[in-house]
Amino acid sequence: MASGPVTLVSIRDLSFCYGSVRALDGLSLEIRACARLGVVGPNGSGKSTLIDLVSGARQPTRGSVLLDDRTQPIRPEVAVAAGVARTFQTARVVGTQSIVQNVLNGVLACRRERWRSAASVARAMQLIETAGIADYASVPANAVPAGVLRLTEVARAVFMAPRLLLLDEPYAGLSAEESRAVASLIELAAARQPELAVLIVDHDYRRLACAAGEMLLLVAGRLAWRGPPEHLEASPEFIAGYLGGGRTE
Amino acid sequence: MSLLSIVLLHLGLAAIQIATVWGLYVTYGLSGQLSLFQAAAFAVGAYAAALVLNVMPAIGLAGQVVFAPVAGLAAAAIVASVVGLVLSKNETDYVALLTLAMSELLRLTIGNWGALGGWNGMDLADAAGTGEGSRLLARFAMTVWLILLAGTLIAWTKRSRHGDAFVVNREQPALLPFLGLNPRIVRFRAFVLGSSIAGLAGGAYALLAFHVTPDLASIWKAIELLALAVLAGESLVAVVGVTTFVYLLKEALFFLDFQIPVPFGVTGRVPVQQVWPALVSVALVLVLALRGRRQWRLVR
Repeated sequence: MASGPVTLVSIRDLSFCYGSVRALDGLSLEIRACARLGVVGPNGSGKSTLIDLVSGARQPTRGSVLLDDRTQPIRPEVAVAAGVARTFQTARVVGTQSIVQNVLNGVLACRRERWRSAASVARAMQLIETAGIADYASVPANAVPAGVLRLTEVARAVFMAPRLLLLDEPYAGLSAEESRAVASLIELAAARQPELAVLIVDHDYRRLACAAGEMLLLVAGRLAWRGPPEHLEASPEFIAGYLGGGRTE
Repeated sequence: MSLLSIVLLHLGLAAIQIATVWGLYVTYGLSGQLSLFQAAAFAVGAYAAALVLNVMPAIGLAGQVVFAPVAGLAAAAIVASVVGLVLSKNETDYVALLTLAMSELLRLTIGNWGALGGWNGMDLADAAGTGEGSRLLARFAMTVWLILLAGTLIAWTKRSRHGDAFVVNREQPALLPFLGLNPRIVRFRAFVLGSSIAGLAGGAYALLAFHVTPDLASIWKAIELLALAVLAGESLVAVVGVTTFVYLLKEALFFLDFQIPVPFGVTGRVPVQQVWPALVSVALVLVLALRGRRQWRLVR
């Protein structure tokens, strides 16, 4: 029997409610190795909640997220140990530390890597240069523009050498050039980890389409459409659910 | 007491104060936990060293110099581990409240424990058969040993992945799990390490002062240490400068029997000793109020 790429994450009948508001409603999905998934949808469609659930930041109201077919509930530390790295809608960086130090923080929990070794710093610098923010390498994070912070966060996630990279609105507030830097960072991560799967959530579906091999459309917490990026704009579900106004908050 | 003896005594006491504030630098400065347990950990170290040295009088002066700080460190680490288990579930202001409660509980326990000398405290037996010269040398050796040990621990922590994890806990605690770290463990480590260094200093203090009392764990001492840590900010060298300056100032004022007007409109003057805790508390509030605009805020 021919076998496809390994399944990294199995999402089964996943639901999540914020009080009485249902953010995700019975979503089932598999994320396989080497996948490049782009997730679009109107505000409140459950995109970021999906990332929160896969990264262990929240626990599902119903259904399950299985990392490598493990059945136990996912906590963030478990997810990281399983090779999941993520970014946040609002960049979470350490303001008093330099940009290079923030990137190095990606391996804080990694005992295999000697802390602040020359090799680690060189690898962090390579990512910073790829992100095009080398001028800010030694500048404290609380003194750099928002776009640099976002790229720093992506670089930190890539530095963790993940098998699954979850990017939450990485293009928000970035110029076209900075968006290309995000793509370059992903390429670098894939070069280091050939099985790398990437799930990107964003509102900018055109930029997303450039990075993704497959697009998913979430509307009201449900998977409304999935397919190749080039077919997204023409799909009736996208026109009705996204351009035409799905559920908005 | 010779002049050299007095100088070495004060040098040692200043070094002890510096090491204690360095410990708080780990707990509060690096990891952002507003701990009022530092004086209690210091007292635990002092009592542990006093007990160990009293039951082992035969270890000699050199043995005392080595064992007193180490016994203090070990005892404070054990007590701080128990307190840290409760503490690590909590953040921000709750840490201050809990550590205050724990340190007062500890002080009251020590004060009411007859075997530890009660509120009068406990004396240390002097090492037998030692001359004044040997004692002076031991005092100096202990000061150097304490600073080296505490300084090495702090410097190693600051450069290590633990030190950086502490900083992440201070500034972005919600990020820690997504870097693969358990925030409770990070907070626990910082608290135990910082308190252990206070215990180390407490052990040295017992050997230097030859008398320990429950008041070593008083809230006023904790506030004074916190004031020094806040005043020194993020620099280890500044801790040395600020702590030495305040120590010398305090000793000079006490020695000169300096009188100050009673604050808040009451007429008359009192010796500065009587209002020292109040002065330090007011200073701490002022410094925190000024620094609160930046990262050293008390409340979010």
